[in-house]
Amino acid sequence: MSAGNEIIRLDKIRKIYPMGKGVTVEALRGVDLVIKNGEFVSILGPSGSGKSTLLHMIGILDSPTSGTRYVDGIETSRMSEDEQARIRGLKIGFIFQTFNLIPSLTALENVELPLMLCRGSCPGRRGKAAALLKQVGLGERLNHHPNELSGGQRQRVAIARALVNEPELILADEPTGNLDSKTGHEILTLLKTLHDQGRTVVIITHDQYITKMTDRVIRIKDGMIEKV
Amino acid sequence: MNLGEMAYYSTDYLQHHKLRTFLTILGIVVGISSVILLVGLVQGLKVDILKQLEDFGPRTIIISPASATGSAGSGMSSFVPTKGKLFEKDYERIKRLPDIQSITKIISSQATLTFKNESISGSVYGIEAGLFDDTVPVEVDSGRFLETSDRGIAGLGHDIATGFETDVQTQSSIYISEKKFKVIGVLKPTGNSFAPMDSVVFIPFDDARSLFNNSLVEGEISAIRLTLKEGSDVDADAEWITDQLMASHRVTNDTKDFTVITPKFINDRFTTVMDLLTLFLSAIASISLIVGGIGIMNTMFMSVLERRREIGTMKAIGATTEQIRNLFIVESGMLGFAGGAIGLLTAVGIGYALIFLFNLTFVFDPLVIGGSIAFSITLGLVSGTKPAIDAAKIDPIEALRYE
Ligand SMILES: Nc1ncnc2c1ncn2[C@@H]1O[C@H](COP(=O)(O)OP(=O)(O)OP(=O)(O)O)[C@@H](O)[C@H]1O
Ligand SMILES: [Mg+2]
Repeated sequence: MSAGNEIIRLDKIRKIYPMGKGVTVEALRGVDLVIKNGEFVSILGPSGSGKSTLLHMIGILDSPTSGTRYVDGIETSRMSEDEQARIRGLKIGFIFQTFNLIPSLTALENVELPLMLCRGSCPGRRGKAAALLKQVGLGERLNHHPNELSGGQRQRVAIARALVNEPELILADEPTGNLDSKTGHEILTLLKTLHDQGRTVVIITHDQYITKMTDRVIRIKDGMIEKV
Repeated sequence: MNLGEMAYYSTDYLQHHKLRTFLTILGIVVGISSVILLVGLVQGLKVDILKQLEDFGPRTIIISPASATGSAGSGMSSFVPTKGKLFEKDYERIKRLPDIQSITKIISSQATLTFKNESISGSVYGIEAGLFDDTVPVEVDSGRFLETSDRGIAGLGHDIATGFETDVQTQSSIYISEKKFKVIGVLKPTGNSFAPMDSVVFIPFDDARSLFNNSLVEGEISAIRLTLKEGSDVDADAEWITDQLMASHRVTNDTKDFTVITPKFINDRFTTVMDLLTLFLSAIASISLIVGGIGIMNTMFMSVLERRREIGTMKAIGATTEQIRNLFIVESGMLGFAGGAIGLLTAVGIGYALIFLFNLTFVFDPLVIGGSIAFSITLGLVSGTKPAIDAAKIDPIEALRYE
């Protein structure tokens, strides 16, 4: 196993959701996947094919029903919820289709939040958050609340939030799904820039055009990765 | 996330929902302010009573039979037991106490008072002129008070003098148990409930002895009043008196047939009553606090439900279950604190208004205030615990899927 270069390795990962009355949904049906440091990967597939489930699996937000998951060579499939949370806080940055900002906090406070959750001392929180907001082009909007921002601006705040803990891996679940094509394109350019700066980025999309910008496309159908 | 950061986060949220926050803490506000007000008023009343006791005389001791009422009034039966009575010999015995400044004996009874064909019932005190007024300050409104050589004359308490159709004037005649007395003076109102001089008719001791002869045993008296010299140990002297009387009456502490009343004795009794009253009122107020606590719990449950996505997001970016739980407990504690603090301000406001408008004595006890605030915070924390545990349990995947 050449763990040094691999951020994520999934081995025969299955995820089965019980639906009650003995009925189950198999969202992932034996997924093998490796994501290397510095890659820009897109996940493409029809609705309900298991893209989000896969992304949650990569992001240690969910535990597999069976199979093994390694993050930086460490086995994480059977970790407790709180251990998983800690790793997420350290290594993962999430970006969502619906932005998921905290409505009562300002843009700046939203970006600070992951550092607020960090254990021990995380110095320079405010400055770091402000610098990132400037970097995504929101230097003038630090004290705006989410409802005072446009969709594109909100997603920029969310990106800044995903970056503030200096994660190894940035995961975006249809980040342009709620944006018009022009704004969506701007967000994609921003993600591309992050990749160019050396970050590992995984992005879910329906959009063929987006896949052209990425290093690699993972096609998923009925909970299985299609072999290319 | 430290406490300050959690408080900050919650403050942001609560400020965003001002009306809801206000409605939620209203129960606590009402509960806390009523507790502080009620306790403050009762304690104020206590202060007033203590002041009256000061007026009563801090070194005054009154000795009366155990059944203070009816001791002299119900002696119609031919068999009169000597138990439960005071006698001249008790008086002589107590008189030996060196600390005594002045001591006097009293014969008292209820009697029919008649003035201009109008009859009322009232207390009659047979007193030793010159001695009685040494143990109690007596202020005359008109005429004069009894003097040593007086016979067949009466001094009237203020309420007695004004208790008839027409006010009784000095020099007029009044009938006490159908015997004629000349009114020599009327006293000023005292307003003191511990030395009820206002509703008493004072007559010479010997007149009372013959007037109530039927109902009294040989040498019986109704009460002994004494004041001690300055610097005397009132409690120790009261104990000495008790011991003396127990010996002469051949009774023990349990079968005691007399009462030695000191200011402390009265104060203790009143304190007991007041404490009961405080407890009772607080119990009522705490119902409102319980309702307030339920209000907080309800709001927190709603808030957790509403913020599922927010909680899911927090977890996705690294929040542990413990952090989520603490966050909501802190928020709930802050609701409690806000309720307590506003309740306190309300109580202080109303309290000062009462002082100002009705001249009431009002006590703001730091212990009560601190206790109320601590209680409301605790109430908030306790009410928020279950909602917070629920919040911490939320599955981030579920919450993020939730539309
Ligand atoms: N918590 C759950 N309970 C039950 N079934 C679930 C749950 N989460 C996902 N599923 C099911 O698993 C399958 C994959 O869901 P997933 O959300 O991963 O799809 P997706 O590819 O992201 O779809 P979309 O493009 O619409 O977002 C679906 O059939 C879905 O209904
Ligand atoms: Mg999805």
